[in-house]
Amino acid sequence: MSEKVLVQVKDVYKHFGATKAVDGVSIEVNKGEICGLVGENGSGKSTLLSLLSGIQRRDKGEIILEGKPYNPKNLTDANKHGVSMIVQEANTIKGLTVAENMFLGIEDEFTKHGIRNIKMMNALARERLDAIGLKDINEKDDVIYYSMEQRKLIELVKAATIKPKLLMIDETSTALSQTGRDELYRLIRNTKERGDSVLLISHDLQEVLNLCDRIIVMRDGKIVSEVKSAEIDETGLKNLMVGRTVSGGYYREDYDTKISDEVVMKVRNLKAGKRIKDVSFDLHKGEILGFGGLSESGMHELGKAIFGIEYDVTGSVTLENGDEIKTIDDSVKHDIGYISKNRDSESLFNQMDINDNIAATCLEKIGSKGFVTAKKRRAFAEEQSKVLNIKMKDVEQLAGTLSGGNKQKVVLTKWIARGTEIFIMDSPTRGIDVGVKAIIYGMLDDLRKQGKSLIIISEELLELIGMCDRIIILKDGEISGEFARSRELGEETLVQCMV
Amino acid sequence: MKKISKEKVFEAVKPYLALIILILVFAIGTKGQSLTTKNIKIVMEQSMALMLASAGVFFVMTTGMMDLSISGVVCVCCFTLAKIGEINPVLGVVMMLVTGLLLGLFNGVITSVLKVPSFLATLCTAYICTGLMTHFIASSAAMVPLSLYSFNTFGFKLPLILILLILAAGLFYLRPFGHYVRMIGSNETAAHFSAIKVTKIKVLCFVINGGLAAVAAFLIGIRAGTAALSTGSDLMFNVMVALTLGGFPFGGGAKAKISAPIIGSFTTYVLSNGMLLMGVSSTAMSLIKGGLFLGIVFLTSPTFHRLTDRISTRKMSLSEP
Repeated sequence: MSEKVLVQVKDVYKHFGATKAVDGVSIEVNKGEICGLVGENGSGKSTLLSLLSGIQRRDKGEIILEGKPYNPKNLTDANKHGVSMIVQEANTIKGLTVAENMFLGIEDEFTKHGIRNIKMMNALARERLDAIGLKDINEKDDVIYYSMEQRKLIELVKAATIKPKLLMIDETSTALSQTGRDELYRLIRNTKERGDSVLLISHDLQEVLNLCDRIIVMRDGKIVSEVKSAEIDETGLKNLMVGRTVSGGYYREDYDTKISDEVVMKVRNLKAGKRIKDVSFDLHKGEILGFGGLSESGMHELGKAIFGIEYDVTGSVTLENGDEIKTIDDSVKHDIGYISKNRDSESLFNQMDINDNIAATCLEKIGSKGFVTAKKRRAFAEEQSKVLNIKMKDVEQLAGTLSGGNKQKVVLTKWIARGTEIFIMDSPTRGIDVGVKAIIYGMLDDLRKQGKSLIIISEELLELIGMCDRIIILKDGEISGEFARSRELGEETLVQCMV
Repeated sequence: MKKISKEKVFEAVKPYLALIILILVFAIGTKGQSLTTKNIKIVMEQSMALMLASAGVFFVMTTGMMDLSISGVVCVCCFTLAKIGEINPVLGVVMMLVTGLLLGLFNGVITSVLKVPSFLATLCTAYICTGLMTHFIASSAAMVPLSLYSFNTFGFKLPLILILLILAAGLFYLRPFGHYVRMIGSNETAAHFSAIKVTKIKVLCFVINGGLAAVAAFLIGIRAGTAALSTGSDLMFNVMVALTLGGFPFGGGAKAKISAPIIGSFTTYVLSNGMLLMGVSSTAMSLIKGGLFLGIVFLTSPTFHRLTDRISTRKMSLSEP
C-alpha cells in the first residue's frame, strides 16, 4: 500500500480568522493517479492545493510525500520536491521573457561561472514550444504581449518541463479554448503515463468525470465524499457538492422580475486605455447588470472607466438628466459609488478606524458649519454600521483588523451611507467566505428592490447567473454576448462567449 | 481587550514620558540649574519657532510626503523680512508671509500637480533658496528692522503661538480637511477613489507649511536680529528630531497626532539646552542628536517589528519538538 501512495495529507487545518478554509482534511493520492477535487466556491479546494504547493503554510497537521515529512516553504521549494502547480490566476511574471518564465527557479541549470547562457535557454524553450505546436509564441518576447490563454499555455509547458511527481491544476480550463484544453488534457495524461500523479480542480464536472480516476468532494473545508469516477455521474456529483446547505436563500430566487424601462445611465462607444475597445450599454433603474469575461477582457477597467478613474477615455457616459460623467468628482456628485476589486489597496483605509472609513465620503454632510467632531462621526458610523451588521468590537476598531468580509461591508457601508444611487462593484465577494457572501448577496438584492441600480463585475460566473437581471460578456474589450436572467442559463453558455 | 487599550495608552503617553524623563535627568545632571525660571523661559522661547515649523511639516508628512526645504524657506522669509522691512516694517512682515505661502505653493504644485517625488522636489527648493540667499546676502547679513524687536517678548509670542497651534489642531481634528489629510496618508488611492481632492489637499498642506515657516522665520528674525546664510540652517534636522521625539509615525499618516510637533519641539530643546548646561560640546551634541534620531526611527520602524517578530517566531519553532 505505502509503495503506491505518493502523498498523504493527515488531518490538516488552515483557518483565516473565523473562516475555516481547510478544516481537518485527510487525503491520499496514489502514484499514477489522476485525482479530481470538486466543491463549491469557498469550499477550500484552492486553499488545500496552496498548502501542498507551499503558497501558504498549514496551521496544523502533517503532509507526507513519498514517506518523508513534506513542508514546502514556497512554490520553488515545492518544485524542488517534485510538486508543481498551475494556479487559477495568471502566474507568469510580466517583464520577463517567455523563456525566462518557463525556466523560472531553475535558471541555475543554464548558468556557468555565474553567467547565464541565454542562447541555450531560448533554444530549449523554442524546442519545447514547438513540441506542442505553439509556433506563434516567440520565446524571446516579454510575456506581456501574450493573451491570458497563451500565458496559461506557457505555464503548461513550464509544468511539463519540470516533470513533477505531483502536478496540481487549479481551475485552468475556463481560461482555455478547446485547443488549449486538449493540450491540458494531454499534459495530464502524459503525467499519468509517466507514473506521476495529478490533482485537478475544475468546475467543469464533465471534464473531471472524463479525466479522473477518483474524485474527492469538499464542502465547507471538509472532505464529504470520495468516489470512483466510474461509479458516479454529473448529477450525483452535484448533489454531493451542494449537500443540504445551499438549498435556497443564497442567490436571488425571482426569475420573472421585469426590468424598468427607465434608463439611469447610458454608456456609448466607450474606449479606454488599451483594454476597452468599444462598449455601449444602458443601465436601467433597479437593475443588477452583470459583466463577465476573462480577467484580461477589460471588464475590470470598464468599472474604473465609467466611474472616471481611467485616463484617455473616449465615448460617453451620460445620466438620466443628460449630465455627463467624466471624473470621479462628477460620479460622486451624481451619487455613483465604486467598489474596487482590490479592497485593501484601493478601497479601505486599513490603518484608520471603522468610523473614519464609513464617514469618508460623508464628512461634509455630517458636519455642521464645516466642523465634524469625533462624537458626530462615531454616532454616524454606529448608525450606519447596523445596516449591514458589521461584526466589530466598536467603531473605533482599526479597519485593517477586520476579516475580509467585514472589510467589504465597511466599504459598502461607506457608499450606502452617502445615499448612492448607482453602484459599480468590481468582484464584490472576492475572497469572502460563504456566510458573509450570503449577507452581501442579500444586501445587493435589497438595494435593487430600493430602486438602486447596480453594475457587478465578476469572474465568478455562478454569482453573475445567480444575481443579475442581465449579463454582458466582454471579450478583448468588446461585448461578445448579452444574456437575460433565466433559470436555464448555465456557465458553459457564458464561457463559450468568453473565449 | 483591556490589554490592547493599555498598549494604546502607553503609545499615547510615550512622548510625554520621554520629556519628563529628560527633564528629570538634566535636573539631576545640572544639579537643578536646568529648572530655574530663567532657563525654562529660555527653552520655551527657543522651541517656539521649531514648534511652528514642525507643525507645518507635520501636515505635509501626514499625507505621506516629505519636506526637506524648511531651512531654506525660513532663510528666504527671514531675508525678505529684513530687506523689505528696511523700507516699511509692516510691508516686510506682509511680504515675508507672502513669500512663505508662495514657496509652499511652489513645493505643492511641483510635488502634487507635476508629481515630482516630494523628497527630491523639496531638496531642489532648498537648493534654490540657498542659491538665492548666497546671491543676495553675499558676505554681510541683512539686519532686521529695530522697530520689530519690540515684538520679541514673551507676552506677544506665547499668545501668537497658542492661537496658531489651536487653529492648526482645529483644522486637523475638526475640519473635514484634517480627515482628508489623514486619509491620503493612510491610502492615497482609496482617498482618490472616495472622491477626495487629493491634489488640492496636498498643495494646501504645503501652503500651510510655507505659511507656518514664515511665522517661524519672523520669530527667528526678531530674536537673532539678522538674516544670514546660516539662518534656520539647523531647523531641517531639528524638525525631524522633534517629530520623532513627539511620536510621529514615520510609516503612515493615519495615526499622526498634532501633539507630536508640539511636545517633540519642546523635548528637542530640553535635550539641547540640558546638554549645553552639562558642558557637552556642540560636535558631540550633533552626534548624540543624530544617533538618537536614527535609534528612535529604527525602533519604531516596521523593519524592527518584523525583526522582533522573526526572532520570536524562530524561538517558537525552535522550541517545537
